Amino acid sequence: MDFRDTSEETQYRAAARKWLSEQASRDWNTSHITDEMEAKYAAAKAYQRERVKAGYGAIALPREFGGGGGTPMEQIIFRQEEVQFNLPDIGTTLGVGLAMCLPTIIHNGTPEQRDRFVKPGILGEEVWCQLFSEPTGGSDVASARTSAVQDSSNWVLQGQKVWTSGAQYSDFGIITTRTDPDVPKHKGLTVFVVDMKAPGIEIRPIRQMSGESEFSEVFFDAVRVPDTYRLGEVNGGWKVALSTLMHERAGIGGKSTNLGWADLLKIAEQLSNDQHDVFANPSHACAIVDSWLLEFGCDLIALRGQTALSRGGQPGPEQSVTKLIKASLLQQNGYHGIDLAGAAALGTDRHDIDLWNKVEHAWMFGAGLRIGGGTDEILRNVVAERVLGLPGDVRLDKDVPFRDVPS
Amino acid sequence: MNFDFSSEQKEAADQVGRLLANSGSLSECRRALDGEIVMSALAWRGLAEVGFQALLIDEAFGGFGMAPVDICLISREIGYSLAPVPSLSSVYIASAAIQRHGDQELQEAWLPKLAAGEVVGTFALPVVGPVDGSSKGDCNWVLNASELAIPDARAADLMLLADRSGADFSCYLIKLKQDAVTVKDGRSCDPSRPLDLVDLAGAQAVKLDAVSAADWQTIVDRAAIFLAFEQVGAATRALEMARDYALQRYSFGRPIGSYQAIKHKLADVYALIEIAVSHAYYGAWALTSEPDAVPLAAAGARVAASRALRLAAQENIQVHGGIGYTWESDCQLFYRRARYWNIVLGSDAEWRCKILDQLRAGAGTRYAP
Repeated sequence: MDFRDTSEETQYRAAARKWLSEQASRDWNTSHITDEMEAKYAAAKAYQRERVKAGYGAIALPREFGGGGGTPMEQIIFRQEEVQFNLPDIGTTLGVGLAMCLPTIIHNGTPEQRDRFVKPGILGEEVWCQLFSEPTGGSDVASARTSAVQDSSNWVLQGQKVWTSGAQYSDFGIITTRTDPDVPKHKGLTVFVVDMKAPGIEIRPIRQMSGESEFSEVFFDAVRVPDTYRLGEVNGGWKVALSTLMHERAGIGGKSTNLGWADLLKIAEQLSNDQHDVFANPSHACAIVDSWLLEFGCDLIALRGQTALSRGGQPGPEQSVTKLIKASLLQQNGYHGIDLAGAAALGTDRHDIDLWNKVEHAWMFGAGLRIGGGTDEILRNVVAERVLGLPGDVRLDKDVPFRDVPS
Repeated sequence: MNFDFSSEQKEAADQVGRLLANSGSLSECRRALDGEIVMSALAWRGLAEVGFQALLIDEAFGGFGMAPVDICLISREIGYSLAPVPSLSSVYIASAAIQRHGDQELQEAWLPKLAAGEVVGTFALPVVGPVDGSSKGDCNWVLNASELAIPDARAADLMLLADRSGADFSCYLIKLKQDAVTVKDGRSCDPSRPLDLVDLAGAQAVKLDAVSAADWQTIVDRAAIFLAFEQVGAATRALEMARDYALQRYSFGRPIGSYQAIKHKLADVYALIEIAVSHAYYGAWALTSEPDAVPLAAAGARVAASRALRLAAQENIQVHGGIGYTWESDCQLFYRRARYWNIVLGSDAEWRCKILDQLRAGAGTRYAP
């Protein structure tokens, strides 16, 4: 039992680190772009081109599609090294495409669709988004109401999607649509690739309660999509959507940069002095200890998953609990971070502004993290049903035509 | 990355698991509850046959001289079976203390018998009242004390007494089968893991001069890691019990396991168990690879495991409903054991303070992988 790399992993890590340090010393030449987000995407695309050249562009995707043909463990090692450098951010720009959309096309697309989309996607020439959630269905992904009606060799889309990351910067999206409302909901879905620049698409940013805008709502008004952009069978979309959602769970490894126990410890140390020992307060002490127990516990669970991958196996079911634990923990950390500083922290314009932004962000973002990417409640269902083998929920909408489902 | 046990270690544990599954541990616990036995001689003998008591003892004294990491998964199986055996008292603490700090004479006198499971050792919980000792030359002492709290004293042949009540730390080895020693049932909250009361009235003792307070703490830390494996084993069993019952019990025309109130409860138990398993693994790594990481790893393993077992045991009763609150139900066995293990090496409050001290001293980042 040890945390060391195998000799192959050591070599891979060393090579990655050397390459990353060279890349980190480059100027990504985006200073001429004034819009912050556009500059971010331009830098990400330029960096992704370099990653692809070096075989790091999509490490675990097959070589025949322009991927690196590597192992999931190599992907993790590269990511562990990459986060230590100040480099353009791929995760929040090209990440949805690389981790979810392109694997979906590889697994479900026709040869023509693979030829058309995968290589430009991996090269970062085309940006992707995912359009599953709707105002009437977030957790209930199969309840999509956005309709697609066939018109000779085209389909006409009508409806609304929501919580789409990066929609306004995307070239293409993967969308779930309702193609037959007269059959039960899982049997009437079809998945398409949609050109995000097509006429009839309107994208409106959502302002989150934190004040940030990381997501959009996307309106489709008579948007025409060619039948050649259909992924999988007509009314066979549920299988395709599931394969996309499976890829959403990628990303074991890479330490979180969110507010953690070490930040709480730092705040308590900064606020302690000869007259006032923050640690002497058992409530504060408990908050730090609890935070460490859960956060480090999740780190260790991830290491167990990496061990399975390193041995050529599959990570175990224990991996399914970390998102559930970490989301609530972040919310709690944010709460306790403010508690530590006392009432003075109600005013957030402080001298230690970087750390303080992190505290406030955790307090707000933690609330969102418990909902996005699988709510706490859905994740508990997943653990109960798939890990513990308890029965699925009673579903009133399972065997009735979709149009008769109450809403 | 190799944060897992080897296939040999897993196979050895599976073998012990099969053995314990056949020794009826839950009915042995029940016999202890009814006052018929103070430990399962059956399970203890079975464990001796597969060499459990001998694993960490040197080959020179009849042991196998294995590494601490080799015992962890076996400990988990013992916990899973809930076998009423003095593994903590005899193997993790008494044998370890004599192996690490006893002189040649003590080692020769006791280790072969401890390794064979022929004698049982134990230890005193932190002493509250005074221990009155007088030296009789060399290491021989005569001790007086009353109502020392000792796990497994009625089953044990010897005990270690770490006395921190005075100005100096002292550690004594005392034979329990002598006239000057009186042992009585201390009515443990878990009779399958006894806590007895011992009076010393001029009892003969051997002082272990080589043991410092820090050495003793190291023994306790190491024991806490092994015990954490027993705790997560028992927690897993309690969760399985609750899951099985939730599948079989119907209310309002459905298995109760189909209600989210039950599903989510058990998902939370599973999550805390996996956190605890991971901390226990880290403890196993620290024992083998990084002694300086042991204090934090032990405290983390212990607090996480106690928390997981506490939740698993109490929610097991809750899922069972009224039947779970009866004397006949096995739920109480886990509930009692959870309480006993949680307190026998010191309360959560004490171990949480250790975590905070270690984090403030930088151990949280210094040894983290």
